[in-house]
Amino acid sequence: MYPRIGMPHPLVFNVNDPEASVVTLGGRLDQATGGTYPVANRAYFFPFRVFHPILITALYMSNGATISGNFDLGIYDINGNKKVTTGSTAQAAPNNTAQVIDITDTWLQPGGWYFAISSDATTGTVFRSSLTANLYKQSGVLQMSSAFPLPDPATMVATSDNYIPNIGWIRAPRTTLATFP
Amino acid sequence: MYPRPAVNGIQTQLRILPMMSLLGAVGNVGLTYASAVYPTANKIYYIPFRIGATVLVKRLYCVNGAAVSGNIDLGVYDQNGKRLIVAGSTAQASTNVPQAIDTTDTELLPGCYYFGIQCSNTTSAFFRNNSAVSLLQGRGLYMETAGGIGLPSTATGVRITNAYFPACGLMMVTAI
Repeated sequence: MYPRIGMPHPLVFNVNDPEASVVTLGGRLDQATGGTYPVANRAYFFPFRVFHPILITALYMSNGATISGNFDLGIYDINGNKKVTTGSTAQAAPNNTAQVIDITDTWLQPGGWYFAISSDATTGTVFRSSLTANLYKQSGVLQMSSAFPLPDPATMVATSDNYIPNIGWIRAPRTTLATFP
Repeated sequence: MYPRPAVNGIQTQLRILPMMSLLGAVGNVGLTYASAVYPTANKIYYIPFRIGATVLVKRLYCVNGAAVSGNIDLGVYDQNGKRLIVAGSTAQASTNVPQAIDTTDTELLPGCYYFGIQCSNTTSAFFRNNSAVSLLQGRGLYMETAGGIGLPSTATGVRITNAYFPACGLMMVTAI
Protein backbone atom coordinates (compact mmCIF):
# COMPACT_ATOMS: atom_id res chain seq x y z
CA MET A 1 0.00 0.00 0.00
CA TYR A 2 2.54 2.54 1.16
CA PRO A 3 6.17 2.43 0.17
CA ARG A 4 8.28 0.79 2.85
CA ILE A 5 10.11 4.05 3.40
CA GLY A 6 8.20 7.28 2.95
CA MET A 7 5.72 9.36 4.85
CA PRO A 8 2.06 8.76 3.97
CA HIS A 9 -0.19 11.77 3.67
CA PRO A 10 -2.38 12.52 6.66
CA LEU A 11 -6.04 11.54 6.58
CA VAL A 12 -6.87 15.17 7.29
CA PHE A 13 -4.63 17.68 5.51
CA ASN A 14 -4.34 21.39 6.28
CA VAL A 15 -2.72 23.92 3.96
CA ASN A 16 -0.33 24.71 6.83
CA ASP A 17 0.87 21.09 6.93
CA PRO A 18 4.35 19.99 5.82
CA GLU A 19 3.18 19.10 2.32
CA ALA A 20 2.41 22.77 1.71
CA SER A 21 5.02 25.36 0.85
CA VAL A 22 3.90 27.83 3.51
CA VAL A 23 4.88 25.44 6.28
CA THR A 24 8.36 26.93 6.31
CA LEU A 25 6.85 30.21 7.45
CA GLY A 26 5.90 28.70 10.77
CA GLY A 27 2.19 29.54 10.78
CA ARG A 28 1.72 27.62 14.00
CA LEU A 29 -1.54 25.92 14.81
CA ASP A 30 -1.87 27.70 18.12
CA GLN A 31 -1.15 31.14 16.69
CA ALA A 32 -4.03 31.12 14.20
CA THR A 33 -6.95 33.36 15.10
CA GLY A 34 -10.35 34.01 13.60
CA GLY A 35 -10.23 36.59 10.81
CA THR A 36 -12.58 37.95 8.16
CA TYR A 37 -12.06 37.19 4.49
CA PRO A 38 -9.71 39.84 3.02
CA VAL A 39 -11.46 40.79 -0.24
CA ALA A 40 -14.85 39.67 -1.53
CA ASN A 41 -14.73 37.42 -4.60
CA ARG A 42 -10.94 37.12 -4.46
CA ALA A 43 -9.65 33.56 -4.64
CA TYR A 44 -6.44 32.36 -2.99
CA PHE A 45 -4.39 29.38 -4.11
CA PHE A 46 -2.03 27.53 -1.76
CA PRO A 47 0.48 25.08 -3.25
CA PHE A 48 0.90 21.60 -1.83
CA ARG A 49 2.56 18.37 -2.93
CA VAL A 50 1.21 14.87 -3.31
CA PHE A 51 3.62 11.93 -3.04
CA HIS A 52 1.32 8.96 -3.50
CA PRO A 53 -2.17 8.65 -5.03
CA ILE A 54 -4.89 9.75 -2.61
CA LEU A 55 -8.67 9.75 -2.84
CA ILE A 56 -10.05 13.07 -1.63
CA THR A 57 -13.54 12.71 -0.13
CA ALA A 58 -14.31 16.13 1.37
CA LEU A 59 -12.92 19.61 1.95
CA TYR A 60 -13.17 21.65 5.13
CA MET A 61 -12.51 25.02 6.72
CA SER A 62 -12.06 25.90 10.39
CA ASN A 63 -14.80 28.47 10.97
CA GLY A 64 -14.39 31.30 13.46
CA ALA A 65 -16.89 33.15 15.63
CA THR A 66 -18.85 34.87 12.85
CA ILE A 67 -20.78 32.82 10.29
CA SER A 68 -21.72 34.74 7.14
CA GLY A 69 -21.61 34.68 3.36
CA ASN A 70 -20.73 31.89 0.96
CA PHE A 71 -17.48 30.06 0.37
CA ASP A 72 -16.13 27.92 -2.42
CA LEU A 73 -13.26 25.50 -1.80
CA GLY A 74 -11.43 23.53 -4.43
CA ILE A 75 -8.31 21.90 -5.82
CA TYR A 76 -6.46 22.97 -8.99
CA ASP A 77 -3.56 21.53 -10.92
CA ILE A 78 -0.40 23.53 -11.37
CA ASN A 79 -1.63 24.91 -14.69
CA GLY A 80 -4.71 26.44 -13.12
CA ASN A 81 -7.18 23.82 -14.27
CA LYS A 82 -9.94 23.01 -11.83
CA LYS A 83 -9.81 19.46 -10.47
CA VAL A 84 -12.73 19.63 -8.06
CA THR A 85 -14.65 22.31 -6.16
CA THR A 86 -17.42 22.36 -3.60
CA GLY A 87 -19.37 25.04 -5.44
CA SER A 88 -20.84 28.03 -3.62
CA THR A 89 -21.68 26.89 -0.10
CA ALA A 90 -23.13 28.95 2.73
CA GLN A 91 -20.83 29.20 5.69
CA ALA A 92 -22.73 27.21 8.28
CA ALA A 93 -23.20 27.14 12.04
CA PRO A 94 -22.14 26.19 14.62
CA ASN A 95 -19.45 28.80 14.87
CA ASN A 96 -15.92 27.95 16.00
CA THR A 97 -16.30 24.53 14.42
CA ALA A 98 -14.69 22.96 11.38
CA GLN A 99 -17.19 22.88 8.50
CA VAL A 100 -16.92 19.91 6.17
CA ILE A 101 -18.20 20.11 2.60
CA ASP A 102 -18.67 16.93 0.62
CA ILE A 103 -17.29 16.67 -2.90
CA THR A 104 -17.25 14.10 -5.64
CA ASP A 105 -14.57 11.65 -4.55
CA THR A 106 -11.50 12.65 -6.52
CA TRP A 107 -8.13 10.97 -6.99
CA LEU A 108 -5.03 13.14 -6.81
CA GLN A 109 -1.90 11.77 -8.39
CA PRO A 110 1.65 12.59 -7.28
CA GLY A 111 2.67 16.10 -8.25
CA GLY A 112 2.01 19.72 -7.39
CA TRP A 113 -1.50 21.03 -6.67
CA TYR A 114 -3.21 24.15 -5.38
CA PHE A 115 -5.83 24.29 -2.68
CA ALA A 116 -8.23 27.16 -3.44
CA ILE A 117 -10.66 29.23 -1.41
CA SER A 118 -12.97 32.08 -2.41
CA SER A 119 -15.79 33.94 -0.66
CA ASP A 120 -18.41 36.40 -1.83
CA ALA A 121 -18.30 38.38 1.44
CA THR A 122 -15.85 39.76 3.97
CA THR A 123 -17.84 39.17 7.11
CA GLY A 124 -17.54 35.47 7.87
CA THR A 125 -14.47 34.48 9.86
CA VAL A 126 -12.12 31.55 9.41
CA PHE A 127 -9.12 30.76 11.58
CA ARG A 128 -6.09 32.07 9.75
CA SER A 129 -2.46 33.12 10.08
CA SER A 130 -1.46 36.58 8.97
CA LEU A 131 2.24 37.05 8.49
CA THR A 132 3.50 39.58 5.95
CA ALA A 133 2.24 39.22 2.38
CA ASN A 134 5.75 39.07 0.94
CA LEU A 135 6.43 35.88 2.89
CA TYR A 136 3.37 34.24 1.41
CA LYS A 137 4.26 35.55 -2.04
CA GLN A 138 7.73 33.97 -1.93
CA SER A 139 6.11 30.71 -0.83
CA GLY A 140 4.08 30.54 -4.01
CA VAL A 141 0.68 31.64 -2.73
CA LEU A 142 -1.39 33.04 -5.60
CA GLN A 143 -4.65 34.93 -5.94
CA MET A 144 -7.27 35.86 -8.51
CA SER A 145 -9.84 38.66 -8.46
CA SER A 146 -13.48 38.25 -9.49
CA ALA A 147 -13.19 34.55 -8.80
CA PHE A 148 -16.37 33.57 -7.00
CA PRO A 149 -17.44 30.90 -7.54
CA LEU A 150 -14.09 29.37 -8.36
CA PRO A 151 -13.53 29.50 -12.13
CA ASP A 152 -12.12 26.97 -14.56
CA PRO A 153 -9.41 27.65 -15.48
CA ALA A 154 -7.99 30.07 -12.96
CA THR A 155 -5.67 32.91 -13.97
CA MET A 156 -3.46 33.35 -10.97
CA VAL A 157 -1.05 36.09 -9.90
CA ALA A 158 1.17 36.44 -6.84
CA THR A 159 -0.75 37.22 -3.71
CA SER A 160 -0.79 40.70 -2.22
CA ASP A 161 -2.54 39.72 1.00
CA ASN A 162 -1.35 38.23 4.29
CA TYR A 163 -3.90 35.49 4.55
CA ILE A 164 -3.45 31.76 5.18
CA PRO A 165 -6.72 30.20 6.32
CA ASN A 166 -6.95 26.84 8.07
CA ILE A 167 -8.54 24.82 5.30
CA GLY A 168 -7.79 21.47 3.77
CA TRP A 169 -8.92 18.12 2.51
CA ILE A 170 -10.02 14.80 3.97
CA ARG A 171 -8.97 11.58 2.26
CA ALA A 172 -10.24 8.02 2.24
CA PRO A 173 -11.00 6.14 4.36
CA ARG A 174 -12.08 9.28 6.26
CA THR A 175 -15.08 11.09 4.81
CA THR A 176 -15.95 13.41 7.66
CA LEU A 177 -14.58 15.09 10.75
CA ALA A 178 -17.73 14.28 12.71
CA THR A 179 -16.97 10.69 13.61
CA PHE A 180 -14.06 8.27 13.92
CA PRO A 181 -13.67 5.75 12.44
CA MET B 1 11.16 11.66 -9.21
CA TYR B 2 9.78 13.62 -6.30
CA PRO B 3 11.82 13.99 -3.15
CA ARG B 4 10.52 12.17 -0.14
CA PRO B 5 8.63 14.59 2.08
CA ALA B 6 10.84 16.15 4.70
CA VAL B 7 7.93 16.34 7.07
CA ASN B 8 9.32 18.75 9.65
CA GLY B 9 11.98 16.22 10.45
CA ILE B 10 9.47 13.64 11.64
CA GLN B 11 10.76 10.94 9.36
CA THR B 12 14.32 11.68 10.35
CA GLN B 13 13.27 11.77 13.95
CA LEU B 14 11.80 8.31 13.73
CA ARG B 15 14.93 6.89 12.24
CA ILE B 16 17.36 8.50 14.60
CA LEU B 17 15.62 9.50 17.78
CA PRO B 18 14.07 7.11 20.24
CA MET B 19 10.88 9.08 20.80
CA MET B 20 8.08 10.66 18.79
CA SER B 21 6.09 13.48 20.37
CA LEU B 22 2.64 13.98 18.90
CA LEU B 23 2.84 17.72 19.52
CA GLY B 24 5.24 17.72 16.61
CA ALA B 25 3.29 15.23 14.55
CA VAL B 26 0.09 17.24 14.30
CA GLY B 27 0.48 20.45 12.39
CA ASN B 28 3.68 22.35 12.81
CA VAL B 29 6.36 21.90 15.37
CA GLY B 30 6.79 24.27 18.25
CA LEU B 31 3.31 24.25 19.75
CA THR B 32 3.04 25.87 23.15
CA TYR B 33 1.87 23.80 26.09
CA ALA B 34 1.18 24.20 29.79
CA SER B 35 -0.18 22.16 32.66
CA ALA B 36 -3.97 21.92 32.85
CA VAL B 37 -6.40 19.52 34.52
CA TYR B 38 -8.10 16.84 32.47
CA PRO B 39 -11.42 18.20 31.11
CA THR B 40 -13.76 15.26 31.75
CA ALA B 41 -13.34 12.04 33.71
CA ASN B 42 -12.81 8.98 31.52
CA LYS B 43 -13.01 10.95 28.27
CA ILE B 44 -10.75 9.55 25.58
CA TYR B 45 -8.87 11.78 23.13
CA TYR B 46 -7.70 10.38 19.78
CA ILE B 47 -4.76 12.19 18.21
CA PRO B 48 -3.76 11.41 14.61
CA PHE B 49 -0.18 10.71 13.66
CA ARG B 50 1.62 9.13 10.74
CA ILE B 51 4.91 7.35 10.38
CA GLY B 52 7.08 6.92 7.32
CA ALA B 53 9.31 4.09 8.46
CA THR B 54 8.65 0.88 10.33
CA VAL B 55 9.16 1.31 14.05
CA LEU B 56 9.08 -1.01 17.03
CA VAL B 57 7.07 0.69 19.76
CA LYS B 58 8.12 -0.32 23.25
CA ARG B 59 6.44 2.23 25.46
CA LEU B 60 3.82 4.97 25.35
CA TYR B 61 4.04 8.16 27.35
CA CYS B 62 2.17 11.25 28.42
CA VAL B 63 3.52 14.33 30.20
CA ASN B 64 2.09 14.78 33.66
CA GLY B 65 1.29 18.27 34.88
CA ALA B 66 1.22 19.95 38.26
CA ALA B 67 -1.14 17.42 39.88
CA VAL B 68 -1.40 13.66 39.57
CA SER B 69 -4.36 11.55 40.59
CA GLY B 70 -6.35 8.52 39.53
CA ASN B 71 -5.50 6.31 36.59
CA ILE B 72 -4.55 6.78 32.98
CA ASP B 73 -4.60 4.59 29.91
CA LEU B 74 -2.69 5.05 26.67
CA GLY B 75 -2.97 3.25 23.35
CA VAL B 76 -2.50 3.23 19.60
CA TYR B 77 -5.26 2.60 17.04
CA ASP B 78 -5.12 1.99 13.32
CA GLN B 79 -6.90 4.30 10.90
CA ASN B 80 -10.03 2.11 11.10
CA GLY B 81 -10.27 2.45 14.87
CA LYS B 82 -8.87 -0.95 15.81
CA ARG B 83 -6.71 -0.93 18.91
CA LEU B 84 -3.18 -2.14 18.27
CA ILE B 85 -1.36 -1.23 21.46
CA VAL B 86 -2.67 -0.56 24.96
CA ALA B 87 -0.97 0.22 28.21
CA GLY B 88 -3.85 -0.73 30.48
CA SER B 89 -5.13 1.25 33.45
CA THR B 90 -2.12 2.68 35.27
CA ALA B 91 -1.88 4.99 38.27
CA GLN B 92 -0.73 8.44 37.27
CA ALA B 93 2.57 9.06 39.02
CA SER B 94 4.95 12.00 39.55
CA THR B 95 4.21 15.62 38.69
CA ASN B 96 5.70 17.67 35.88
CA VAL B 97 7.53 14.81 34.21
CA PRO B 98 6.84 12.42 31.35
CA GLN B 99 5.32 9.13 32.48
CA ALA B 100 6.19 6.21 30.24
CA ILE B 101 4.26 2.95 30.42
CA ASP B 102 5.64 -0.32 29.15
CA THR B 103 3.60 -2.04 26.44
CA THR B 104 3.93 -5.19 24.42
CA ASP B 105 6.58 -4.47 21.81
CA THR B 106 4.61 -3.78 18.65
CA GLU B 107 5.82 -3.07 15.13
CA LEU B 108 4.02 -0.25 13.33
CA LEU B 109 4.34 -0.11 9.55
CA PRO B 110 4.31 3.18 7.64
CA GLY B 111 0.79 4.56 7.72
CA CYS B 112 -1.73 6.66 9.62
CA TYR B 113 -2.61 5.95 13.23
CA TYR B 114 -4.31 7.46 16.25
CA PHE B 115 -2.95 7.81 19.77
CA GLY B 116 -5.56 7.27 22.48
CA ILE B 117 -5.26 8.86 25.92
CA GLN B 118 -7.70 8.57 28.81
CA CYS B 119 -7.73 9.71 32.45
CA SER B 120 -10.14 8.65 35.20
CA ASN B 121 -10.66 12.02 36.89
CA THR B 122 -10.49 15.80 36.54
CA THR B 123 -7.93 16.37 39.28
CA SER B 124 -5.14 14.98 37.14
CA ALA B 125 -3.17 17.48 35.11
CA PHE B 126 -1.22 17.06 31.90
CA PHE B 127 0.86 19.34 29.77
CA ARG B 128 -1.36 20.21 26.85
CA ASN B 129 -1.71 22.58 23.92
CA ASN B 130 -4.94 24.57 23.93
CA SER B 131 -5.40 25.59 20.29
CA ALA B 132 -8.95 26.55 19.35
CA VAL B 133 -11.40 23.68 18.99
CA SER B 134 -12.12 24.57 15.35
CA LEU B 135 -8.42 24.20 14.60
CA LEU B 136 -8.06 20.89 16.43
CA GLN B 137 -11.08 19.53 14.59
CA GLY B 138 -9.44 20.63 11.37
CA ARG B 139 -6.39 18.54 12.27
CA GLY B 140 -8.50 15.43 12.74
CA LEU B 141 -8.60 15.10 16.54
CA TYR B 142 -11.52 13.12 17.99
CA MET B 143 -12.83 12.20 21.43
CA GLU B 144 -15.04 9.55 23.00
CA THR B 145 -17.07 9.55 26.21
CA ALA B 146 -16.54 6.43 28.29
CA GLY B 147 -18.06 5.12 31.50
CA GLY B 148 -14.84 3.96 33.07
CA ILE B 149 -11.10 3.75 32.67
CA GLY B 150 -9.76 1.43 29.98
CA LEU B 151 -9.38 2.09 26.29
CA PRO B 152 -11.87 0.20 24.12
CA SER B 153 -10.78 -2.37 21.56
CA THR B 154 -12.61 -0.37 18.89
CA ALA B 155 -12.70 3.41 18.90
CA THR B 156 -15.99 5.24 18.43
CA GLY B 157 -15.01 8.86 18.35
CA VAL B 158 -16.71 12.13 17.56
CA ARG B 159 -15.13 15.47 16.77
CA ILE B 160 -13.22 17.01 19.64
CA THR B 161 -15.00 19.79 21.55
CA ASN B 162 -12.31 20.62 24.11
CA ALA B 163 -9.32 22.84 23.49
CA TYR B 164 -7.16 20.10 25.00
CA PHE B 165 -4.37 18.47 23.03
CA PRO B 166 -2.27 16.54 25.54
CA ALA B 167 1.45 16.07 25.11
CA CYS B 168 2.08 12.38 24.57
CA GLY B 169 3.88 10.05 22.24
CA LEU B 170 5.65 6.84 21.32
CA MET B 171 8.91 5.43 22.58
CA MET B 172 11.07 3.05 20.62
CA VAL B 173 13.31 2.56 23.65
CA THR B 174 12.52 1.38 27.15
CA ALA B 175 13.68 4.45 29.07
CA ILE B 176 13.55 8.20 28.64
